[in-house]
Amino acid sequence: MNDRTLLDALAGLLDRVDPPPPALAARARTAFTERTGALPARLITDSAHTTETGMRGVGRIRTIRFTELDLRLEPTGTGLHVTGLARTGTHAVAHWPGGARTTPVDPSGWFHVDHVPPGPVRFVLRDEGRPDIATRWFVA
Amino acid sequence: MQDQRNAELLTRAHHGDQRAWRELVDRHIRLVWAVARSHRLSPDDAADVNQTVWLILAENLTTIRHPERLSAWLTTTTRRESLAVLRLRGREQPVDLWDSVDEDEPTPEDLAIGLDTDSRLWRAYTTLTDRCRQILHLLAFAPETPFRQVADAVGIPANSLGPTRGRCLEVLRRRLARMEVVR
Repeated sequence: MNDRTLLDALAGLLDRVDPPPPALAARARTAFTERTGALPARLITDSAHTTETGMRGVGRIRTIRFTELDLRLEPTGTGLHVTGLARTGTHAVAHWPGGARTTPVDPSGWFHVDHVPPGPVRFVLRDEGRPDIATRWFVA
Repeated sequence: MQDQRNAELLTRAHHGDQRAWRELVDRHIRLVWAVARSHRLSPDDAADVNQTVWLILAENLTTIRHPERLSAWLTTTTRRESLAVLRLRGREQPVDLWDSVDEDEPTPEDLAIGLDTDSRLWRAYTTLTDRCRQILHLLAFAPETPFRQVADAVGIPANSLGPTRGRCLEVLRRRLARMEVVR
């Protein structure tokens, strides 16, 4: 059995033992409908990328800094509580697949969003007459 | 041909062709799932990572510089999101996909694959180190992925991937032989 034959056999086996759940493909296909024409906010730092694995507890609150906003995500019993500091925009929108919640940005730039479902999420800043600015999608 | 088709599919999807998008998903979803699971994410976390990777790709249809390396792009993106989830979870409840393989009782995997050649390959595979399983998992589903991307995805130096891959396959083959599968 050469290398490729062995790897092909392994691929077939893994596919039978641990296949992608059927609903996963359907969800992946719907990702196409979530596209926006927003300008991207550049990621500066994310505590989920800088925290060492294996450190218990430190990952409970996540802080993410983008060029146009800072985010603090805290898990609660009813979803995520998100505190944001926007450097532009009058409204912030929390997006998740199939849903969204809009909240006003106060004059100092702060906004709060509750009950954001854990899972894929992105944030969009809106300002009338200007293009939307959006974070990348990430798992919250 | 495969490379051109990826480029075509990305372009068509960018112009709103849902069939092209569906083809991209169908072609690569096993890889994305495999990479997430190779990081020992729970099924729920692996599903979230999977969905996120497709959402990110949907927003980047025109920024994939090398469509022929879409598998590598997906692998790297999935690894990055998987590691972020692992850090978020603090590995408080590690999920070991292969925990039960050494037990005498039949596992769900045993029941799924039956007591045949597959079963022996599965048992040989589960005796490998985590790193070997990760490497072979990726190479099994994305054989065209450049070594450098596979090395990045599993977190080892690129120049050691070739020898490591060879050793992993050799160990797998030897253990299969011990089970009298390879004669």
